[in-house]
This record gives sequence, structure tokens and C-alpha cells, in this order.
Amino acid sequence: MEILRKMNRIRSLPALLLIAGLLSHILCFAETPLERRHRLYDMAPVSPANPVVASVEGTDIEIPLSEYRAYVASLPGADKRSPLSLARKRELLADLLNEHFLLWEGYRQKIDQREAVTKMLEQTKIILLESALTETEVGAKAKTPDEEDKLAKELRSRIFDKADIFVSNEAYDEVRKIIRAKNTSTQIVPAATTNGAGTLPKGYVLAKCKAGSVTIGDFLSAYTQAPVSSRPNIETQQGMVEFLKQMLEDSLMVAEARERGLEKSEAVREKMQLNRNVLTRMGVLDELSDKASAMVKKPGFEADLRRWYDDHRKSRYTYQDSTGKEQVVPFAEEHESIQNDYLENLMEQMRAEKINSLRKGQKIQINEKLLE
Amino acid sequence: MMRKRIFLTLALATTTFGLSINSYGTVFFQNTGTVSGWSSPNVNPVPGQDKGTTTQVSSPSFGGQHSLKATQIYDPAYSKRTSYTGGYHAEVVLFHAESVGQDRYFGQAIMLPSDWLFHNTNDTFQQFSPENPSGPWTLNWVQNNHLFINVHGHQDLGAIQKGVWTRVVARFKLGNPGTFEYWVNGNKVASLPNISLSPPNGATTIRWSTGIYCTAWRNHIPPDGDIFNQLTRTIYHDHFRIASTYAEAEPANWH
Repeated sequence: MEILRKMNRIRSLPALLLIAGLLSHILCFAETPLERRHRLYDMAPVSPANPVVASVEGTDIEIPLSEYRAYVASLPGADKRSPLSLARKRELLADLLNEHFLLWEGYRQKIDQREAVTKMLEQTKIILLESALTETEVGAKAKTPDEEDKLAKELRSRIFDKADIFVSNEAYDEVRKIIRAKNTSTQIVPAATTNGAGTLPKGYVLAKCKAGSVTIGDFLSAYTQAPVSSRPNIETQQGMVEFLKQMLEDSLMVAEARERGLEKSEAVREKMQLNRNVLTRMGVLDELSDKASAMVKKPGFEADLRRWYDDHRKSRYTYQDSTGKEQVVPFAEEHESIQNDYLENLMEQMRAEKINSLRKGQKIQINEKLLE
Repeated sequence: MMRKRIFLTLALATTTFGLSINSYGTVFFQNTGTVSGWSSPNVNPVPGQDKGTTTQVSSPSFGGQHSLKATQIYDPAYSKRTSYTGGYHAEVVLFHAESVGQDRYFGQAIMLPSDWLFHNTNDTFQQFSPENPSGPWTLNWVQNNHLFINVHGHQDLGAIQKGVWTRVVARFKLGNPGTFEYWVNGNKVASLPNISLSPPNGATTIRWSTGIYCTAWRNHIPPDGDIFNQLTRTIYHDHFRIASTYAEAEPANWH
């Protein structure tokens, strides 16, 4: 019995090790859900082919190789650069980590949930949905740019043609009347409330479909802003339809994309998350720039500014005029621009201080081998 | 299909445009991605170029948020008719955007759609031009996946991603000495202090044009490399501002 037990132990040890190994592998490369992936340059998930170069314990900062590479490629002059030394690679990784600390701080402050951010993201989603629908329907099918163009136009027409557009007879008559009276080539300014005695208000809906509606005011504004040569004759139903098509196509494309569930597609979600991350990081920088601007009102600001000007008079405010003679930028005359220089400098300082405070006491892990 | 019916009026959002003054910086111009409010909704209603459009994205049913969608379409007939010299602008323009001696920050957010094909040529999304006499001066463009501007030579401003809003702020302190600076997503990527930065030919003011200008479609006959790899090109724009400080011009920092 004792021998059997020993044999079992021996047999199960490799199995246990294997399971443990697999588990640790799964845990190491467990995919972070897209909506929790805090990246700025590349959204590829962590995987054996895309391992983590740097991470910060106790935070969600995790920089995989793809993010680091995309960051390096994004820098000015990246295409002309000779191979980087290890020291330079370390520097760049440190810079990228700084960006990630700001991003982390932005999420800690819940900047992503602020109204300005969520509104901008909703607007972005509209654009992304339209692109996603075109990509799905046209992308792989088109072999040439001409074909891509043709297919994209056909898609838009198809979606417009199948949509029910309800047009108000009264509003249509009103629009025709105004355009006839004003002459289409001149500027038409719809009245604030009504278009004249006994006529309809500019907010009256002219056309409505599943994607939204177009008021008399919207129509007149779009019509008059269109180049004269591309304004169809709206006296005819065909002309009216043609112009409504121009106005509603985008919205109908978005409605169609939503109906097809493209909102949940990986491509749209990924771009949405990247936009969210970029906005969240920017939110932290905005607060710093607000702080720098507020310094203007602090007592002693003017004296500080003057001191800064004096310190930088030689390096920044001395130039050669057209005769080659050295001239100094006068403080009083160029006050606004000197103040701008000073505030920008303050902002850079505050940013460095903020990053230092975020980094303080943090345990950063770097996989140096991946940088070599 | 078009059906005519009578129905009730719905309430809709209106566009916003205005001028605001903050406690410190001054905002001289702002636009939330609408075609109204500019000196010219499209500076070049030249036959053929009018295939290019600058329109507001999203119907009013999506609420008060807009973006300016600038689209340009390559038109072989137009190019042939103009002996391949016709330009391809689709831009909104603000006249008298800045005078020599002033220090101004021009901010906006731009987005290349996800289906944008990068190519090795200049697609300009904003330009700063002298007004009297008028002419080209400073173009700011996308080439491959990087942003560039020509101020004292071509400045590489770093990468731009598709499908993601990119915030750009350009500072022009016009005159001699002048200053040029540029920020992308809050990072300063170019700084040229103490340079001569005056509009050419004695002009004292500049205009700001923004939208899309596919420069390479002029003077080229297809097929011509990757210049024609995409015949309809769109750039989205939003949160335009001209301000006296960086903080006020930064698109993500509107008050």
C-alpha cells in the first residue's frame, strides 16, 4: 500500500506542476476586458506574443510591448531614427510610464464619467458607427479605390431608399415659397420664430425618419450653405428627395449600424475605449493648465513674471535684427507673450511635479529583457 | 421612398456659436463644429472643387453636439478639364484671424475616420494664409501616419491615430522676433522661439482655413502611386478656438 501511495504521489506531481503552470500562465495573460484596457497607443491584449514590459503594483498600469512600440513609433522623426540604445529605450519607457500615471490618475478622479467626456464620446460613437458600417459592407469587397467609392455610394443610396421618410405637405410648401421668394443664390436667413404672417415656425418639422428629423430652419440653413451648383431644384419632388438624402444619409447610416449591432463590435468598442483613455488623460492635464492660469491672479505674480523675464532675457528674449545687431524684447510691449511663455513653463513644471507625486512610493516592475 | 404626411412639430437642439471671455485668457473665436459662424463656409466654390463639402455631422435628432465633416472627392473630369491644375479644397475660413504683433493660439480636435488610408502625401487639415496680398503660407497636414507643419522648414509633429480624436494647438506670435509652438494631445511637440515669423510679402493679417485640402490631387494624373489610393477623403473637426492663451485654446479644456 505504501508503495502504491508513493507511486501515486510521483504520478500526480508532474500533473500538479503542469496544472499550476497552466494556471499561472492563464493568470499572467488573462485578457483584461476591452473597457478596462487603459492604453494610449495600442489596444492589443496582453498575450505570450505581447508580454508586459512595465507594470506598477497596486495600480492598473500595465504596458505591453505593443503599446511601447506604438508609442516609440508615434514620436516625431521616428521613421528617420537610427536604432535606439538601451539607455534611450529606458528613457522612452519612463516617458510612456509618465503618460500612464496621468491616465491612471484620470480614472481615479473619474474624469471619464464627466459630462463633457461622455458627450464627446457619444458624438464619436456616431462617426465610428458610420465608418464601421462602410467597412463591413465595402471594405473587403472593393478591389480598387474607384470600386470602393462606388460601393460606398451604393450603400448609402440603398440605406436611404429603404428608409421611410415622412414629409409634411405644409412644411414643404413653406420651404418652396421661401426659396422662391428669396432667390436661391442669395443668403436666406430664417426668421427667429416664424417665416411671416400665417406661416410656419422655423422649428416646424419638414421631414422625419427613424434616424431623426429635419425642421424648416435646418433645411433652409443647409440649403443656403450648400454651393449653388449643388443645390437641386426643390420645386420637384425628386429635387427635394435628393437634398433630403444629403441631409439624412449620415444619420440613416448610423441608425442602420445600430440596428446591425455594430455598437458591440470589437472595432467600435476598441476605438471608443481608446478615445475614452485619451480624454481621461487629457482631463488631468487640463486641471494642471487651469492651475497654471490661476497663478495670474495670485499676489506677487507680476514680480515673479518679471524675474523670469530677467532670467531668460539672454536665452529667450534677445534676438538679432535685420542688421545683425542684438536687440532685447521689451518687457512692457511684449507683456502678453512673455506671460504666455511663463505660464507654459509653469504648466510644464506642474506636470513634472504631478508625475513625481504620482510615482512616489510606487513599485514599478520593468522587464528589461524585452527592451534589448 | 418619400411619403407625405402631416404631423406635430418636435423640439430640436440648435447650434451654438459664441465668444466667451474667461477670467484670464480671452477667447476671440470659437465654433463647436458647425458651418455657421465662419467668414466663409467654403472658400473655394470653384467649379469642380465644389465636390468638396464642409457639413455638420449628425442630424439635429442627436442633440446639440456637432462635428464639422470636411470631405473632398477626386473628380477625373474636373482634373482633366483644368489640365490637372485644379485644386481640391473643402474648407471653412475665418478672415482676419490674427495680425502681426499678436500672440494667438489656434486649437481644434481632428479625427481621421477609421477607414482613412494613410499615404505618403500631403492632406492638409488647416492652413494659415496671408490676406493682403493673399497666397499660401503655412500648411498643417497628415502624411503617412504623422502630422506635419511647414514653419521654418517641415516640422514632424508626431503620429496621429485613425478613429481617435487628436487635439492640436498651434501658437503663432507673429512678427520678428516671433514664436511658433505646437501641442498634440497636451504634449508640446514643437517650439521655435525667437524666429522671424511674419506672413510673406508684407501682409499684416492672416486667415485660418480648416477642413481638407488634398494637395497632391493637383498636378497629378492617375495612376500615380498611393496618391490615389482613396478617392473620397474625410476629416472630422470640432472644438475650434482662437485664444490668447494655451489653456483657453486647448480643445479638451473648454470652460
